[in-house]
Amino acid sequence: MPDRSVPFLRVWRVDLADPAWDVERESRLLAPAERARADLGVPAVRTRRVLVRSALRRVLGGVLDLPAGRVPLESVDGRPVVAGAADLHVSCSASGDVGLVAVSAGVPVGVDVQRHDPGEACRAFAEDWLSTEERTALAALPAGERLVAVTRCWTQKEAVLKGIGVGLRRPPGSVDTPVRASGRVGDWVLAPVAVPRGCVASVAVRTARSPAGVPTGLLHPPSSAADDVR
Amino acid sequence: MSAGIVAQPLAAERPGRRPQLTDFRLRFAGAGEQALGSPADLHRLSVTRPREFWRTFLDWADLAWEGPPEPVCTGDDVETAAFFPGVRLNYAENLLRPLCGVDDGRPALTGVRGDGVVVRYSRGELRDLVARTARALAALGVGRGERVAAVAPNRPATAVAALAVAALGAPLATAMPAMGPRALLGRFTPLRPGTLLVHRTGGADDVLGALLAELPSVRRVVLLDDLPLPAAGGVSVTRLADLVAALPDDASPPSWPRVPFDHPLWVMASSGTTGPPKGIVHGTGGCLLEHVKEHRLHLDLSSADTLYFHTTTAWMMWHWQLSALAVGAHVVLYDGVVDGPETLWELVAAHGVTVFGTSPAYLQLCEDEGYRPRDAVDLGPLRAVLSTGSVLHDWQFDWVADAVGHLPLQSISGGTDLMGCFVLGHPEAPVRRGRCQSLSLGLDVVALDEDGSPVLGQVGELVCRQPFPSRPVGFLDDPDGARFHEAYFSQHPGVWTHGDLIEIDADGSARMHGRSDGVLNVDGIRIGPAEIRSILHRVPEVAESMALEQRHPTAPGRTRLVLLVVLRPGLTLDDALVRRIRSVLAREGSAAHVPSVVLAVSGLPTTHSGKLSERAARDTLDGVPPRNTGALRNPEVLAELAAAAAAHAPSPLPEPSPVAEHDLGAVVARAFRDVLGEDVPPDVGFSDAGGTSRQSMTLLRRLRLETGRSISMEEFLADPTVRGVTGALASPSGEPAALPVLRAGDVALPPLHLVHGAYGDVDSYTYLVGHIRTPRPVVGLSGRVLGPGGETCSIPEIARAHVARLVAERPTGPVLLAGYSFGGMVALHMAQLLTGMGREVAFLGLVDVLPPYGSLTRGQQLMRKAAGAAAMLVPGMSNRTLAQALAGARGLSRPAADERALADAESAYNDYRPAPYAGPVTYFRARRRVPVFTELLYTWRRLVPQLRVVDVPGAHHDMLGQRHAPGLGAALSASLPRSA
Repeated sequence: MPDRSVPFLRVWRVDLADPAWDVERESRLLAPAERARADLGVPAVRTRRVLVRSALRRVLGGVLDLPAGRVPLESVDGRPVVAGAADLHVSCSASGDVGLVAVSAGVPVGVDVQRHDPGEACRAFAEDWLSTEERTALAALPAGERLVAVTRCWTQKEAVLKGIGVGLRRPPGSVDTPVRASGRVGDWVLAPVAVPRGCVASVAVRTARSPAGVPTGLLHPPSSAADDVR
Repeated sequence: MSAGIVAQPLAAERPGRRPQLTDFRLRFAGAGEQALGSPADLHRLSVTRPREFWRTFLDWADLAWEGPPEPVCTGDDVETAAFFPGVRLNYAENLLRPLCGVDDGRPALTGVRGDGVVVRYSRGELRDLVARTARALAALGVGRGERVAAVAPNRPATAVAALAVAALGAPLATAMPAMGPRALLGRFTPLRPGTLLVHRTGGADDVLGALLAELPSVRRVVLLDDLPLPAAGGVSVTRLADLVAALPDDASPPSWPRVPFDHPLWVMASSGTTGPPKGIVHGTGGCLLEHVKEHRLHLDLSSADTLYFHTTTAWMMWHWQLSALAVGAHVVLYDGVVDGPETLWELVAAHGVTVFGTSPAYLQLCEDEGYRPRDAVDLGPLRAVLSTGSVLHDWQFDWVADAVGHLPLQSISGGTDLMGCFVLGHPEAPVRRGRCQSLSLGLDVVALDEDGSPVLGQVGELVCRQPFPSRPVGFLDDPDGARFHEAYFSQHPGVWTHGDLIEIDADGSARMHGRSDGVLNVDGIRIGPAEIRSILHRVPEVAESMALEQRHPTAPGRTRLVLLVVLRPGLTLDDALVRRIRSVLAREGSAAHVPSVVLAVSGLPTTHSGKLSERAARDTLDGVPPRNTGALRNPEVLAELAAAAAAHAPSPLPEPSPVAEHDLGAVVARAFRDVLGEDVPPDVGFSDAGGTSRQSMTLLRRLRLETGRSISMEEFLADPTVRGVTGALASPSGEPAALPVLRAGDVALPPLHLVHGAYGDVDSYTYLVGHIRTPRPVVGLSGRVLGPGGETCSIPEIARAHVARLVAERPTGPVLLAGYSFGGMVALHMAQLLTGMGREVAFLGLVDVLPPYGSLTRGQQLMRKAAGAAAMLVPGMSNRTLAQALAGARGLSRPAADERALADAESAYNDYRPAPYAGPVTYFRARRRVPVFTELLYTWRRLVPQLRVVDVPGAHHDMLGQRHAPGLGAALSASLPRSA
């Protein structure tokens, strides 16, 4: 169990396309309500929900020294909260083949990954979630960086809104991001998360101190059924 | 000068210098009677004795080759004959070897970038650099067995790499980063390249990933730029400059391994108008021989020349101009945008260009802008202007003679299929307006009539009857040559049928007349009829269709697109269906695919063997008696077609129907499907169906645009299903919200209303709003462009809805309106409605509003179409719309839904005919204008007597952008009435 006095922020990545994942086995780690929600999705959505939630359970199981299936996860306004651990904050995100699980101690956290689709990024200029300042800053970027920067803006806005706990119920246009990979939005520090090419991910933590970097680990499928015994 | 002659022969203009052609003519024809003949006589002799012609040329040209020059040609069948089977040569060696009388320190290659950076190599430097580059590539494994693809701009780095690849004997296909991944994959997929050369300017960074994902054959990526190395999965990535720098210094002379005459040199893509693009494989010797022949004999190009030909790496003219190194000429490459008529002429002047190649579109742009190169820049050394890509019109010859000078203006035409030209200039022939001076020497080009007999002085099918060296070696993925045969030899066995119509005069001059093979060439843009047919499969009412190019009834020399449709039984062709057909063609094809006329017929002319006869239909439309109607099994449809064409008159402005209450559920279901890519059952949640939060933003915007109502994210998340969203939109809170305040102001003052753009929203005014100085509030008028069935709302419909909302919010007081482009047209119609209701319109600002196509005279329409084509300037890239070019300047296609909104808005716009307006109007005109603008302003003056024109910075497409918005904002602010 990590020392809670040391600020703790870590992100785990799940390769959702890894064929080694046994989705049915992972789904058995989920609570019935979680499984029911996963089952609402079309097959790809179900897989993503199962793997991200089981990953969150495995990670928290490690942190709390509990079997993954017994981690006391609750859902508050659609986001996961660890019951009885008020200063343990978690956030999850998935896009494309990438799932992310962020855990922090003492500071609220939000994480977001987005597959970069240049067409979708182009469309952002016709939508209403970029602020005038962001549009100006984006326009000043070299053309080759502009669209990826749009996608990064989106992940930063989402990360902050998820960290706050409101999600898209607050207009993403109200979050004015720095149009850089790192920076600040009010109380929140933004940092990039390393993800495979084709995706962009950001994490937001509410802290005065900027993290030097965000340690990111890859969460592998369990090599044998023995892992489930825990 | 005598009638029609606009420039004297080069030989007469430069009496001190004998053209190289004269020298060659003496060698080939001897000093006898034949040698004194006309240019036409020489051409005749060259095809009467073709083997002697080519053999003499090979010797005379003094190229570097080895092996027996006999046989010259292995047969007489154009399809199979091979030239010089014993000859071996190296393309790069021939371009770069030291030439007698050419100083190695003379400039050989100059690259000019858009930002003004100039890179120059002398002949010696270029040779060394290509040789070292070839060594570096060879060390990687590039060699004869390897196919190479290059995505790179028109820069020296690209030319050096291409020459190095050619030096190694590896076939190369080149393309532009800006073409976008889809077009690049179309070109490269059949090539299966092992090596990919990439220069990451202009968007190649984005396409690299897409190319690697779709081209599993690629084993290595070699970067031609010096940007940081990208990650490329399991593919090795190296930087060419690093490899070259790492080579040991080596003074040994370059080795140029010689390859057989037909060894593949370039792989080109056909225009792909029917089916996927074909990979056309061209041989080393054929390309070199044809290029050197055209350069030396037809153009008199020598080491005294500096050549600039405006092209991209995606077009065969790029290879053509590169070959000019073989005569020791200095080649200039330009990698920048043409942002006005002066761009290329200034380049010509700055670099002492002697031979300048461009397109009819660019020359037209210069003429329309009133730009006179001879008055603006010093054209001292310029001695010839070349034009290709489409037909150069008679008046353009006059313009060049007047505004540039009495230079040989050479309209040349050929194609990717032969890497060269069938018609060109000629140093011994005068320039007659509207005509190409000469047939290509050694190429047995004739015009065939319907019966297959050669004709002079009338339009016929362009064929080449005898073998020529630059015939393609074949197609990729065509092991038995069946596709190759089908493409060029199926119509006249043993004879190359090019698919162009040509008229050849007895003096050997020629005029091109567009395509003959059903491929439509409307104003320089090629369209395959099959393309239109396949798009129309999406219109269920249309059972069959035929697209035709009709001679324009009022504009000689022009054509227009006519679409014949056979509707399903019981259906009639009404305005709504015509509009939908046009809209689908604009959306799935391009603006060029939209027919001028749509005619309904009961059947299409079909031969007894079941083939559609486009020729018969076209002749009928052109008023020419169709030949051979006996071959048709349904000749009666021709009479019906003639009647339909005669009955067709410009349709009157349809009476606008009231905005119908529509089926919200269908709109919502369609929006879900478009955003998620598949149908979503009414009770399945958006995220359960795979929707992301990012996509929910797109969905809500779509719904706002298409229903004119909006729901909050909160309402959406409460029940994010088709059923739930439909309910939320139908509920009272889903009613139209208050008009969006773009900038707050004194609410006691009448606001300035900005009317939405083609997308239906007001986001495009973001920058402008920040620069409008007024105490008034600035309010947006946004709304839908699409109706419930996905069809376009007309401008009157949109205007009426806006007026209703505006009046509801501000029942009295003066109204101030402004709009850009589409929005300006809506604002004008609103002003007409409002004044009709007795409201005062205190200000109406039109920001660069082009008159809709439908309101122009025929002549203006044609000019405007030409202007659209002019925007592209490079014919090889011209089958994209202007909008796509602007939006996709970085190689990205506009998202389908937005593209549809835009295409539909364009069609709504162009169908509209504005009525006169008596009130005062301030017109903000972009300083950088598309051509023929003066005429368009005339149209406005006719409609709006009280027109005040204010010039503002920027061009139509970027005047609202960050750079130019301050100027427009200041001009707009100064024009607003004082808020006393």
